[in-house]
Amino acid sequence: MTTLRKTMKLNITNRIAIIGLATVVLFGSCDNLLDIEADGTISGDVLNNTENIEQALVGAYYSLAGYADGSEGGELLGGDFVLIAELLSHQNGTELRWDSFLGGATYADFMDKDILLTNIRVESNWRRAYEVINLVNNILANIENVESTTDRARIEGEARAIRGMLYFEMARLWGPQFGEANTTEILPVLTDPITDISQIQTPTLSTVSQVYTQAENDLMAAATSLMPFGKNSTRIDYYACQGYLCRIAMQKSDFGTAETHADNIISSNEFTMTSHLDAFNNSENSTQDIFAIQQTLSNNSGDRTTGTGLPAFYSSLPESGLGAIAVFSTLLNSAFLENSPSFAASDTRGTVDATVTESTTSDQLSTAFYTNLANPLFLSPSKFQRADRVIPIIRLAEMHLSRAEAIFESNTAIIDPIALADLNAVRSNAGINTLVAGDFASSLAFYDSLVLERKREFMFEGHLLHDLKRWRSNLDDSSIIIGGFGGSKNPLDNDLILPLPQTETDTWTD
Amino acid sequence: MKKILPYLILILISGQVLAQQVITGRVNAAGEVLGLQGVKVQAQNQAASTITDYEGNYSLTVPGGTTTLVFSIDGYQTQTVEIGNRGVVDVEMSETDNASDNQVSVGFGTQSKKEITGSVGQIDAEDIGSVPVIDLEQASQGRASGVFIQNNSGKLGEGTSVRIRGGSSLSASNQPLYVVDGIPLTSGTQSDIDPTNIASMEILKDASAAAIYGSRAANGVIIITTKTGTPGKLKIDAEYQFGISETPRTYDLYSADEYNLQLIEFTLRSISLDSEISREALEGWLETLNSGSRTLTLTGNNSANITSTTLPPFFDSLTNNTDWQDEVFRTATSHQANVNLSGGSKNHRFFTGVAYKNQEGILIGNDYERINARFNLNSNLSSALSTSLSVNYTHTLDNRLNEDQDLGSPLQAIVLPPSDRYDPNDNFNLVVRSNDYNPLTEINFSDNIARGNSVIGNLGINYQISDALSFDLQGGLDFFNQRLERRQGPETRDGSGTGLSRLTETDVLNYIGTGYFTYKNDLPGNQKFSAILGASYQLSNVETSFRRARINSISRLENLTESDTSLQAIPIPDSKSSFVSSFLRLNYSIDDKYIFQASARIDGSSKFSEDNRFGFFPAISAGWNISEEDFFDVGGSISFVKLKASYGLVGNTPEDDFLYRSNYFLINYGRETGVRLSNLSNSSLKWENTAQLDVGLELGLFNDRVTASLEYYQKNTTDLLFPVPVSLTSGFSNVLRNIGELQNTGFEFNLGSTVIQNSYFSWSTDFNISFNENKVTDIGGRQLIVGVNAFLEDQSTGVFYMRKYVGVDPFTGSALYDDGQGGTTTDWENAPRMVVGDPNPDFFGGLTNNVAYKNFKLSFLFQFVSGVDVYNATGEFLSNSGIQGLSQSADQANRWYTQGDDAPFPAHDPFQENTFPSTRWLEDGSYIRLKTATLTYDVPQSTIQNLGIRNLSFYIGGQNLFTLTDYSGYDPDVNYVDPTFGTIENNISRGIDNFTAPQARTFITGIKIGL
Repeated sequence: MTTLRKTMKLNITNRIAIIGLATVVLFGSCDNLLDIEADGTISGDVLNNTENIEQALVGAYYSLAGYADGSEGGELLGGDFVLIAELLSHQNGTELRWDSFLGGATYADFMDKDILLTNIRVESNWRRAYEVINLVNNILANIENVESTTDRARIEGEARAIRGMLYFEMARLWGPQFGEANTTEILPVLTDPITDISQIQTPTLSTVSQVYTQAENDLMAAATSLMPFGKNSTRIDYYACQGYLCRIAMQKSDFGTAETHADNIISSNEFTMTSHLDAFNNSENSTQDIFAIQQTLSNNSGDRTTGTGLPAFYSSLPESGLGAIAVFSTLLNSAFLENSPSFAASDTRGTVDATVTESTTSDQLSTAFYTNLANPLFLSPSKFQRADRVIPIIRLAEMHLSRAEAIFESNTAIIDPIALADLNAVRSNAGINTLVAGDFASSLAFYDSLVLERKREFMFEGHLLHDLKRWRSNLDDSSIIIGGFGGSKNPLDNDLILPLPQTETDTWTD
Repeated sequence: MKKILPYLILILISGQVLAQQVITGRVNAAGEVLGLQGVKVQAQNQAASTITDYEGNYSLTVPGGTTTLVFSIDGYQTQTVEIGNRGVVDVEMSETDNASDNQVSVGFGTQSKKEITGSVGQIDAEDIGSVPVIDLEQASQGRASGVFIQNNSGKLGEGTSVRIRGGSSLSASNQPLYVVDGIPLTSGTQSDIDPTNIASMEILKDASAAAIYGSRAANGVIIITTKTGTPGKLKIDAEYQFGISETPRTYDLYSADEYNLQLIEFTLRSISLDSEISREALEGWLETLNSGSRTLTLTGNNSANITSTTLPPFFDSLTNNTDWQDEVFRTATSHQANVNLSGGSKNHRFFTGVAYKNQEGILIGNDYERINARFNLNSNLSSALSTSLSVNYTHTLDNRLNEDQDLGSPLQAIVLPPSDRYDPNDNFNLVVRSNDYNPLTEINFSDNIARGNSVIGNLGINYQISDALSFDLQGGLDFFNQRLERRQGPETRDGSGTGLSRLTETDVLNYIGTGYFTYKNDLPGNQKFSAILGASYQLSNVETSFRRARINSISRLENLTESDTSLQAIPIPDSKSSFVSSFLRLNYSIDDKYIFQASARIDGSSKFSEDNRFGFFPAISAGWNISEEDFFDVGGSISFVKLKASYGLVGNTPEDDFLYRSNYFLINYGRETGVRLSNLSNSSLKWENTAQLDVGLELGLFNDRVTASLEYYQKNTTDLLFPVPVSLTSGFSNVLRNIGELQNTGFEFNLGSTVIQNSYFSWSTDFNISFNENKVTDIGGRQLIVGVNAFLEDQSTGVFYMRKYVGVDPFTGSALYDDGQGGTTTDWENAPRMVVGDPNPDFFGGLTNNVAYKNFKLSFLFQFVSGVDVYNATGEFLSNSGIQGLSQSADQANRWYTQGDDAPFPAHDPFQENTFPSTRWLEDGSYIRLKTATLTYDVPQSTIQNLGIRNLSFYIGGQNLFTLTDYSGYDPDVNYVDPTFGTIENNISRGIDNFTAPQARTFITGIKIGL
């Protein structure tokens, strides 16, 4: 009896001791307990199959579109590249008033043409552009992991196009106008991926022409890869590449090349003009959008609730914006402001609605401008009113006006009928009369008409700064200025070039 | 120190040397028939001791000359009994609510105070039981040395910032690790534990005490043990408390006239009539306006040469007198009640309780409700096997307020014009300044509700393998679900037009399994040895979802399907981490004189790569009970002396998971799903280490009627996890690396004394004071700046770093700043930033007094903080010379008006848009506060005995009754936590008051009954 009990006790003791010891030595074999994954995160070297590489490509679009990202943001094509260029191209106090109280304090430097090295918008867009470039470089470095050659060509094409677009956009914001100082070192051209912190190095700056060359090579290669796939209205396709190549050529005043690219788009007949107001605030691409940033309610670059993105500043309607951009009504039709679009009465691009109220929604807008509800003495533009609508980046109208200008530049003595037709395509679309050659006193008057039309058509789309720079550079005409009423500015002035962010240069060790 | 002098007369006389003597007896619990097992019976000066047996009997051979015996056991008041001539000493033990008279939780077991070689602080559960605050931490303020507790806000449920011996980290949390009934929490729900359920709260401060928790113990450990039942009759304890709260102070704000005067100045300066302005002229014009005319007479000495001007017509409507503070503050009531039941048989003991708390905030729209339910069961299944179960459930409902900086936050109303009014029939909009947002609109047309459900559960099995060896197995669960419902109606600013609804849900699931052996054996020659060897595994997962739509209903928002285009749903990745650990602790002592402890813990964390996964955290410590030595004069006034020292390592992990590998988060572009790189891999990332040295001296005087302790510590953090700025061309602005060092050094002093103790009157005091110096010793010359705070080499963490305001230019009225070269400048941007203050206090502490006279008890706590600065960011709007047209604090009337004014504040400039942060708003935040005071009346036993009532008492008291401070804001106990900030930013940005609500002043009355 005593023996039996003792044995039993030992058994229980042993068992518990074994369980206990097993627990104690648990850590010996615990690596698998520490190798865990969290939902919503993919970890490690993930770009090893088609599906993940496709997802990374979507990620590149995501950041290219500048989806709202708080203080780390930088809205790139989804906002800041448009907004910063627009603010730089207008004179403070006569053309625009920028209301810093309405969430726009970090943009005031651009309006003041006094950009601090520490400007957070400069820094965040710089960083985010390189975030996209790095992701794209990662995709390209792993492109062999895409199984089918068709998929590989498409993904490679889109990835290279994104990189090319960014290098071009950055070159013209962070660098002098092409042709002015092409050997100036402006920004690093990175084509190798960084995946580990040990790969971060002090970057080497490339010159203006080197960056342009990289952009052109990327977009040319992309166009070739994407040509067989035809039109794609949510992604970058062959036509978007052509559009950007046209832009680059125009910026370089390489008019022959520009004409070819514009022609490739126009003569494809894939795109048709819409009425001017129908080109904006659409849920999907309009028929004239060659490339546009896709946005939905969940995924967008922001509005008044995030304090980011174009609607937050362009709109003064309570549904999306605070109305920081306050347009002087004189800007629309001024004799003394150099870049006034001087809208004709019937021009749908210059109409104003003074009857909007707090309860007006953007879908009810039917004019190009409306009373700024935050600053009722001023106007708000009707473009980019809602965060869940696409942001047109390249529209057919640009191809028409660029082709017309390129044709004109190839022979400035004549008014080419194709060029004239291009001009009329845009004019008729805006509800103003079409013109015939006889309406122009000279071919130069025709050119002036093209310039004016560009100012009208792309108002508040971020084009003017770059157009003024290339016109001033190409024509060497000192009357091409920003503003025009006291304190005007040479568009080629260094003050209009974004600085290298101080947080970047501070990290450079050699 | 003069206070100690009176005690010096209380000298006890030692006995003579006599032969040995055997004393026997029986120990009962008061009112119980059964004997009490396990009572420690000790001769004075610890000369001999034994433990009562199953029946409560004991027999002890004491040295000759022994005159007193000390009886002690957990849960009962320690008794000192005179032996006299008796050979049999029977004793009745009465219970104490303070469960651990001398056993202290140290993690995986308890130790007596004498055995402890590390630094362990205690908070008396009794002290925090009836305090009318929501968070446990708030109740603990001022109670323990080395623990600095700051309130984030006076808004209910906003939490606290707790620093044990200073912050030791930058990018990881600096909050201590909370261990509740053996479960290290990740949910942060310790704040919601009902204080009346708590048996003891211990604070492990030094490395030797905390190292057994290895990882995450770098910021100290707070061990919370909840109550267990005791065998015997069912006991019922109930309490009800009613409270009334109000704001402790109000600002002296502009009168309606003063505001109108400022508005006249604004109007005239806007049209460049600056040369007309002086205080006298403005007062004259105000009189004109008040007499009904808007046409002001000018001198004509102005650039336009005009001799009169007419104010705009809206001035006619600025005739009201609205007290905006009165509109947003209220007298708030609170109720709290709890019922606890405990009891059991010898083999099954239980403690169960329910508590309810309902508190109104002193700001309108702020309410908090909480229900707690607890069940603890301890069972002896056999002589060797016992189990313990504890389950706590908490439900909270918090009607929150908007963030302090949000215009919808009630306190923002204090800058609204007093001469204006609002119209309740027009959505509470202001009548004249209709563009200014009235927080009343927000309060009346929005909901901001946080619902929380949390469960902390623990099941433990103890098996006594032999007399010396036992094994414990514990499984714990820490679950927290929070649902944030935010609806802003169409009338509100953010919800304008359609309404805006947002829903955030968070699930925290944390479970832990622990097993450990305990070996205890007494060796020959009065040597004691014990060891603990164990292992644990912990897995934590946090899941968050967020959805939002521009609609005016949470339920409609919930019903929107994923494909609905009006729904905005943002994918948020889970946060997940695991720890695998094994630990060992050895204790060895000789003669109770020389005590040694060594411990080691190996922690593996999922946050590091395979090469750096495991951290090794050893600690050693030793104690010397000098008063046990033969050479020590037992007859002197010094009854106890102990010296102790410890050294050890503890660790910390980064906040983010998996930084050692690259991670991609899911995102959506348009309608497609993609991934975005969230970090570059850093395989060399490793544990942040904190080495801590601690030296302490403990003293007991006059038979321990006076106890004192002094400790010195030095904490060195190395391999500091630091966000190193990198080239942005990597796509990132910084990467976390182990760079840098940080140091905390300090002293802690505790003094407890029983000043008077006799049968009808007693008075005891507890005093603690802590000095901590915190310094960033090496970050390679890097710096991090967050707003007005900075993380700089050779400075305290979070020092105030901003421009120095030096006054007003008497000729222009412009603000002047120190130009750093001995001069002044009006150019704010070019004035250099300087280290101008410190949000870390020089010292802090508390003084508790307990006075009892017959059946009355008075206890009160003074809490103090000194040498701390607060940046009153509220002043950037409220005290800025009115540059944004806002109403101001009354002192702003002393601004510069005209040339020659010698004014402390700059001119009112209608064209200046921003206020520039400077020392103009930096203030000394030192204070002394009567934190709590309670007067209790215990109904005499003779009265209640026949009614079957064990105890009955009534009390009245108060919280935050008065404060001595130079701080001009509502409350110097403030640390605004910006919700948009990450951990790093919040570790740097401290001591900010930004329209932050003050701690309420509360008066309470209550009744406690025990059956």
